[in-house]
Order: sequence, then structure tokens, then C-alpha cells
Amino acid sequence: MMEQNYLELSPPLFRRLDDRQLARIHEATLDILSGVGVTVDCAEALELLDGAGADVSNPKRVRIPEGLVAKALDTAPKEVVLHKRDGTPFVRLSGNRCTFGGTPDQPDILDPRDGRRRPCRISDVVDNARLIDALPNLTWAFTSEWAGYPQGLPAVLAGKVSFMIQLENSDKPLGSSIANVENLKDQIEVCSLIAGGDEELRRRPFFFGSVEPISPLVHGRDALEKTLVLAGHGLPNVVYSMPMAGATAPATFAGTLAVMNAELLSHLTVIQLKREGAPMIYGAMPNIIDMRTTIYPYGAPELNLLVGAATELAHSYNLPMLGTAGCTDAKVIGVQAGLEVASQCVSSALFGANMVHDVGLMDHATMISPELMVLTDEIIRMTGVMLRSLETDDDSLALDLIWKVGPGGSYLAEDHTLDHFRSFWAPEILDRTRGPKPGSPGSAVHSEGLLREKTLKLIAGHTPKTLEEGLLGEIKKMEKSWFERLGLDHVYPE
Amino acid sequence: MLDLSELKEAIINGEDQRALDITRQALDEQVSPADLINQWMIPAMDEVGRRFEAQELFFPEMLIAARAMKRAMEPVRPLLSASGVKPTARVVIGTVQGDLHDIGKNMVGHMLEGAGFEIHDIGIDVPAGRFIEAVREHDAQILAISALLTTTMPEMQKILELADKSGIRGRTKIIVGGAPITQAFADEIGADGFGENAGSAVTVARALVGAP
Repeated sequence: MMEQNYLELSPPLFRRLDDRQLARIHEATLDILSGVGVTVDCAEALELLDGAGADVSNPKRVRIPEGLVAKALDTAPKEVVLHKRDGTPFVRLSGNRCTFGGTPDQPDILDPRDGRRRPCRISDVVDNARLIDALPNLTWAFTSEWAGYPQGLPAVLAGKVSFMIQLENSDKPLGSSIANVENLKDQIEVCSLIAGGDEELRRRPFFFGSVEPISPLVHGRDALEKTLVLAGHGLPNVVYSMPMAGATAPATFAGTLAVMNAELLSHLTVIQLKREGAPMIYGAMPNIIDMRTTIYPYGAPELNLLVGAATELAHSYNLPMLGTAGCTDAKVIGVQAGLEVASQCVSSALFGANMVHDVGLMDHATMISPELMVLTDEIIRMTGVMLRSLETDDDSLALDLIWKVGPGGSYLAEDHTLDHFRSFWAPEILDRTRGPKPGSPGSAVHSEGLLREKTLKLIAGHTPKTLEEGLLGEIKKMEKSWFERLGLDHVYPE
Repeated sequence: MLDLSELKEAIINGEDQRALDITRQALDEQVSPADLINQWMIPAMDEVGRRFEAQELFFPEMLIAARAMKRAMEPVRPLLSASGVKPTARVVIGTVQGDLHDIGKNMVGHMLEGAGFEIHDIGIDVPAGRFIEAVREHDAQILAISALLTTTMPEMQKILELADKSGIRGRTKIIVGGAPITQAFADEIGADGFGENAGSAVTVARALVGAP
């Protein structure tokens, strides 16, 4: 099978909500927006909404009429094309095409060398950025805000350093968590320089921003300010809502989806008012709260179901969608990690989430695991096999051959077999060898060992495409100025 | 003769009306408020806390127990000062400026309330100075500060510095919490306590001021 950087169930036959159910959630969403209202903590956003006919008399409860939402849905782009750092088109996000993205940084790392947990260092972030570059089924990167943070780098710098490390060590598209609007402007400045200008970056984006509403129904100042800058530049913006059923949304799933949808469609409305046609990616991580531990459980099957339902909502609006997979609540690579990640990957692919993020995250998003990224890459390949179309043409039915071989014969040495067997999937990490018999010497091969071996090999052996020397110098100068703004020397902590 | 173990049971089961009825009846029968609280109500919530820690109870079940406790306390509170019982410890709780996250703070508030503390929730996005004012206003023994974002954590340090200057630290203990907060950070900024989750917040608060 040809290597490709996305999965696609074609035709898209997997659904859990019928049209009537989708319509009911949409109507409930409109009722929330025009009745309950949403908090809008940003003067410019309020002005835009006011000018378009929303009721902003109480900024804590801005009420948005149905027509305004419909218009926003109409003008929002139905597809986002992410490019490589050099401006070549890389992946189309639309329909039920499913791509995955890795994260290079978290507060801690599960070190693949000794299987131990320890604070994540700058050198780990570099390794992980290169690993994301090396893994064929991770199509883009989503950086967090932890590079150097455990070693004392201020939080506002850590996020930008993560971003710079990813940018230097991979030419795949990238986005990031962004602390505030100043950081966003710095990141856009860097990307524009690489793209050859703001307009070039807008036309061929390799960068996407991200903002979060606060459930239930609050749009904070930072989020809206970032959104307005992104919309102003016409850059893709992942807006992701994370309601927890039973805590920040109703404990019933339809209610949770309606709250989430209201947050996303009101945000979309602001984006379209700022600049018609500015792209938004419908980001959805609706989940339960775990009522035993009160955590947001990254491995919950309810997360799969709810993100799946959110994907169907996004598809019903023809909006590109951000989903979640490749993450686990487990603290070790073992039974729980494998189960949770495999179910998420299959679910994401069946529903057709366009950008699936959080690959590699463990222990409630406090630890990154390079091995989990490599394992997820294998699981994505495995999922791709399950999604293949089944042909029923003459060559596939092979009746002539079945006549020829007849009862009791062998297909092994037939040309037809030679022509087709290479499409069988060959795992790299899952072990299919026969174990040693009891009493005989030697130990069994195990997938945990193969996984570690492959991970270390990729980290040591992969060389990413570098940025052109002059360009690298320019963006390093920009980074230096960020450090200096805080009165710091331009040095990464050890 | 009234069987007060039923009060304990009613609180553990979260039956607020029943807990209130039994408490009223007990007061009519001249049971002392101190005995009601110390022998039945607080042990009930201790048992609830124990069961939650052992993962036998879910969080909402603990909350309805706390609600029953609060309801049963209604007729008791006015009598407390009269009978010379130490008033319950007061807690001021809020989320730092720049941070609009509510849920973690609310969970800790519910838990402390369930454990018998008197809670004054001053909300989200709270300027540093307001924390100190609120402590003075309510004469609070505990100030509980929440932050969810790494970028808003430095606000905690600001509040601690302000608290040092204002001289409230002698009588008020300061505890911090939130997803990115660690014991190391709490130590670094000089907080008196750190709770990793809502349950441990109660343990920490109790250790700092004794039983509520």
C-alpha cells in the first residue's frame, strides 16, 4: 500500500447521530446562544457582535441571534490546507480525512532509555520534535508550553521555545498552545519571515494558532484577543472546547454537546465578523469528569464517543475538526496505554476527525512519551488497514485462480499471490514470532522491547530538513529579543 | 430516646431533610450542639472522606453528604457561640487574576464546606489585593488560592508577598492548588500548604488549623 499521511473511511458510513438528532443539538445550541448567552470578555469582540445585531447589553451574557450564526457558518472555509515549512501543500483537512499530530513537550518525560519518569529537558524536546518529523503517520505537530519550564524558564518564554524547537527540527506543519496575544504575535512574525510575508503565510499556512473557551460558555480576554489577531491574519485557528460532563456541562451527553457547540459557534461568529472567510478548526474535547478522582480522563471511552459525536456535528457544518487520540491516563507503557490509544485511533478514524492531537501524552497530560508516539504511529498504520476498502472486482474475487487451484491445492506459489501479498500489513512493533518452548534457552521477543529499540533508533538516526542558514539566523535574532524583553540572556537552560 | 447514629447515617447518605429533622429533634431534647457536631456530624464527614479516598464513593455522593451536613448545621450555628463552642474556621477562597477557571476552586470549596469549614468564595480573576481584603473582612484562618495556568501562577507569589507585608500571616494560613501547582512551587513561594486534589486540601487545611 502506498504510504500516505492520512486515513480515510470511504465511503463514510460510520455514524452515531442521525439527522434528526444533529438537528436537535443544533437547535438547542441556537437556544443557548440567543437565550442563555455567552460571556464575552473583550471590547473589540463585543463591538463586532454589537455592530452585527447581537445583544451585548450584558457582556456576561451576550445573546447571539440565529441569523448571525447561520451567516458565520456560511462564510467559514470548509477546508484548510496545511503546508510544509517551505510552502508546499501537505495535507487537506476536510471531509472525513483523518490526520494525527504529536506533541514534543510536557512537564515530565518517560525516558525511553531507562523507562523512568523525570522532568523533561530541552534536549528531550529537540529529540521529540525530530521524532515527530521522522514518524510518517504524524502529519503535524502541536507544541505545548513546557520547554525549559521545569528548569526555570518563565512560562511565557517556555511556550515560544517549544515552538521554536519544533520549527527548527521539522518541516511539518505546526501549531501550539499560546499563552497570550504577545506570544502569538511573536510566533506569527517568525512564521511570516519564513514564508516570505504575511500574505504568503496566509495563502500557504504551515502554522495554526489555538485558543480555548472556558466551559461553560465563557470566552476569556486572552482567547478572544488571540482569535482576533489570528482572524485578522486569516490564519487557521483551532478553537477547542473541553467541557466535562457533570462538572462544567450537564452530565447528559446531548447537553454537554450543546454547551460545547454553543461555545464553538459563538467563537466562529466572532471570527467571521472580524474577517469573513478566516478559517476556524472546530476543536472538541468533550468528556466526562472522573467522579472517583475528579480528573479529566484522557483514556475514557466516553471521550471517544463524545469526540465522535462532536466530529459529526463539525461534519454537519462542513468545518474541519480537531479530535484527540494517542494519549492515556497510564503512567507506564503497558496494558492501559495500548488499550486506550488503540480504541482512540480506531474511533477517530471511523468518525473522521480531521486533525487528531495529543499523540504521546500520558498521566493526564503531565508527561510525554516518545515511545507512545512511536506506538501510536504503529496503531495508526494498523487502523489504516481496517479502513481499507474491500474490492469485489474480478481480480479480487479471483474465480479463475480458484478454478485452477481447485480443492486441496496451494496458492503460495501463484503469480496472483505474488502480485497481491505485499498489501498484507507487516507490523514493526507487534511481535508475531513463536516463543521458546518451556525448558529451552532464549527469551521471548516482546513488543515493549521492539518499541524501545525502534524509538531509540529513530531518535539517534533521523536528520530533519534544516532551515536555510540566513533564515535561521534571522529567527534566532527574534528569539534573542524575546529573552531580552524579560531581561534574560539568550541561553536555553540545561 | 433519640438514636443519634441515625444523624450520622443521614449525613453519610446525603439525606438532608432527615439530617435536619433529627438535628432539630436532638436540640429539642437538649442534646448539646458541641456533642452533635463533634460526636456525630464531623465523624460522619470523616467517614465520607475515608470512603471517597478508598474510591468507595463518587464525588457527587460526597457533595450531597456535605449538603446534608450544611443543612443539619443550620439550627446549630446560632447556638454555638452561646454554648461556648469554638466557631468554625473560616476560609477565603478564590482564583488568581488573569485566570477564569472556576471548577477546581469550586470543588475544593465544596469539600472544605463539607468538612465543616465556613467558606467565603471571592470568585475568579481576583486581583491580589482583594484576597488580603477578604481575609480581613471575614477574619479568615485560611486563605486558599487557585490557578490553572502556568502563566498565572506568578500571581500566587504576588499575593504571598502582599500577605507578608500586610501582616495577616500570623493568624491566616495560606494554601495553594491547581493543576500545574506542585509542592516544590508551594515551598518556593512560601505557602503554608499545598493540596494535590480537593480531598487533600481538606487534610492540609485541618492540619493547619486543627479540626474545623
